[in-house]
Amino acid sequence: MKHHRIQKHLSAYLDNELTSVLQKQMDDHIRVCQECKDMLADFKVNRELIAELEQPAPSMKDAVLAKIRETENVGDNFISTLRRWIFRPITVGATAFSTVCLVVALYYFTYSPVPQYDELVDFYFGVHTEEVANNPLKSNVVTPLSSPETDTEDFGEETETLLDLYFED
Amino acid sequence: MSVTSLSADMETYSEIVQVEEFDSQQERELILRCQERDTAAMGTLVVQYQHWVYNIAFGLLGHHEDAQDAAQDAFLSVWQNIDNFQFRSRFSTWLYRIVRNKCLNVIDQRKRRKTDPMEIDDSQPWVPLDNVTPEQETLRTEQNEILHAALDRLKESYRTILILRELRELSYEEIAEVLNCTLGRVKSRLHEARKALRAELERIDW
Repeated sequence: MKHHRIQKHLSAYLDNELTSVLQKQMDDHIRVCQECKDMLADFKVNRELIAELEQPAPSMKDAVLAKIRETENVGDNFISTLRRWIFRPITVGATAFSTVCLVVALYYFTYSPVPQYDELVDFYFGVHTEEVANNPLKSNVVTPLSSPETDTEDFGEETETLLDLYFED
Repeated sequence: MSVTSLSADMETYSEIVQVEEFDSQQERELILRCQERDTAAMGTLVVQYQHWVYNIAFGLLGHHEDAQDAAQDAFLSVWQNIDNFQFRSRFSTWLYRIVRNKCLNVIDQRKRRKTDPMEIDDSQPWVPLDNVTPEQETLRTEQNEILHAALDRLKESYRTILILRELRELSYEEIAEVLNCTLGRVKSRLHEARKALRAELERIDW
């Protein structure tokens, strides 16, 4: 195996994460390759140095539990504040007034009255309709200029006698 | 070191030992109790994991205050989302994923503020886990500062994988789960990260 491919496995070799075959190949290579040997040694030193960064942690139990209580109290406080605010007299009054206004507004905008029969109105309406129908100036009722009745019009008795005499001649 | 700080360290150390003794059945019971909104169980979980959560956050952020805030926020997030944990993965990997996301948020905020990301935190003295002489402690503090500077210059993905592997010693499978990537990707990225750290430390003239 080539040097650069071997070097890629150095880290896993250090952590014993290679297969036994690859581990054996690495052993053989490292024995003869100074560059890989140096790199492996540096990796080991750096690992120990990072491990030394470990230090005792400050106790956090009280602080964390205080934070937990704080966040949970925030939730409780919010609900109790909301409840108190809702039941204040001015809030109740304002809410009732707003509700009444809303109901009235809704009734006004959605109410459509059903017409009721009124005898008096019906009588005057009938008279008015008749008057308008009989008045040619006001009437909008179209009367035909020549109607079938014109042909069978009764011209009166005298006129008919005259017409009979005329046609006899 | 004063008696008070020593006793505080011993107390913290006992918490670390507790983590090792903590089995998966107990953990499962604690999580179930947390899902029933039992804050005492959450307190126990915090004690169990605070050491590693803080150390991962500190490794990623390099700043004591930020790491502490990120760790606390991560635990708060755990409490708020514990109902979503369905035991399909290990609790620790789920937790580390939350910690990582919190740290990424902090890094994003830093970028938006355009402050110097490599601000060595000297507000908190380095507290060693073992007994060392003051000279050794000074040397170690210096080493840690240089290492943090080098880590901070790496890509975020390299820094994260190095911290998870070298500091927390997670397996490749666990890392793949935390980072939500394949095993092959973990192998190659870890190798690249180690190479990048080596190059960065050489550049600083370690």
